[in-house]
Amino acid sequence: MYAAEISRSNPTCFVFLIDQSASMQDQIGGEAAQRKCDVVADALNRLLSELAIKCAKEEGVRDYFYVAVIGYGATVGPALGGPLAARELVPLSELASSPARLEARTKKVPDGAGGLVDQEVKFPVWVDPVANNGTPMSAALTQVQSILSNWLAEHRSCFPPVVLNLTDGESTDGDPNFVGDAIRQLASTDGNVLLFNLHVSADAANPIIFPSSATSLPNAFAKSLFNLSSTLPEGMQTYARLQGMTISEASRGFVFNADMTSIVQFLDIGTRASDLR
Amino acid sequence: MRYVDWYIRDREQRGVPIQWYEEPGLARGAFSTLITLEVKSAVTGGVWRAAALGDSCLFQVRDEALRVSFPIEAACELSSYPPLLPSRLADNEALRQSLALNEGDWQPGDSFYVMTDALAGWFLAAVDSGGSPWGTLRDLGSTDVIDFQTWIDLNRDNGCLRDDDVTLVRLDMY
Repeated sequence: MYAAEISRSNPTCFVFLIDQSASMQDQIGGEAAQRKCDVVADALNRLLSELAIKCAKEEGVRDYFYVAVIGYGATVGPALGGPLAARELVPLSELASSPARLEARTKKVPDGAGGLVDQEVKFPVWVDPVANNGTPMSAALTQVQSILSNWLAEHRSCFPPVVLNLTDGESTDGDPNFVGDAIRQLASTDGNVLLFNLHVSADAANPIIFPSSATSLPNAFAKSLFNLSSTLPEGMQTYARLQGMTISEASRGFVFNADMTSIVQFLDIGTRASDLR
Repeated sequence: MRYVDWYIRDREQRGVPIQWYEEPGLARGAFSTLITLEVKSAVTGGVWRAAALGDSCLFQVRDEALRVSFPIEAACELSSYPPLLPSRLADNEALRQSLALNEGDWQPGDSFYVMTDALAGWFLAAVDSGGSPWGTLRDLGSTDVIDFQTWIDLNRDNGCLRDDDVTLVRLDMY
């Protein structure tokens, strides 16, 4: 299970859910004073960017993945901006070539003499921060269920699709666990769909990455999102350990006020250097 | 001029400038496996030495039996995380620790097969199940069997060969 090769002839899909409700205007807990909606939009743009970089070859970006971004707040539906607005599943090559805009950002890089220098890098933006209205998470998950059912009907042997929900967890249209369970029951011949959650919280608790139980989680929303999350498959556990993370067999695809860009690296699409980078 | 600077200028001149998603890869550099084989002759036969970084493999076959499998001995040892040789500034100590060395003798009639990981995976799986994969590879040069490219395509299609780049060198010793 979770061993299917991700290739252009057998691609998989990645569905991102982004919470765009009014509560996302609140600030995230911890030292950095940032709005939750800014944090999740930034995290999502970073994830999409990493996915494209991972699949970039000289001739362009390979369509190892088809990507959908669904927003939920005032409405539930496709949330990519720019030329891809209103599109649902988009081939990765098209996503890479059509961000809403490219921003210039500054990154610290080693100067080769033990110090750091600023380097300007291009940062693609597909999704801008939005925060209004309620949190129809169950409706959004229902839409994901439909997208994935259609995908799996046509891609029966693909690496199981991955769903990543970026939210503060405060669902206002009922318990999302019912439809969450249904999504995790969907499967290709290679395994069940993986449902992961990135929780942004106003709670100033320490960041938590891939916990194995809900007991140490700081609030009820975190516990609920933990229950909604799939256990990390063995291959992903191995990779996470190689990255120095503390992982058990029960670790779930859930992070609390933390970065989850690493999940892109968990997806095996070719050779990676183990220890020389 | 550094190669990378030449490459960036060349892409601009060809009207296909570097895209945002290529920049991190250019900054990170390229990574490759490495395998070397040095063969020395004596009056009859001789000795060989090999060095390997990563999962490209060397197989020595004598009298229709596999004599050496280096640096990987079983298909299950192949992973997606081999040590690799970087094109950018290297951590020499880490490189040195990852380098595998081996040596042995050879006799006339021996064959060496040097190959990249996808083909080595097929080779070792065939050995594990009691087969003689070197015979298949040896026959690929014959006029009465399919050619190498067709054989690769066929085995990728039927799932016996991972869809990855393939390099094979065969050395028949006299």
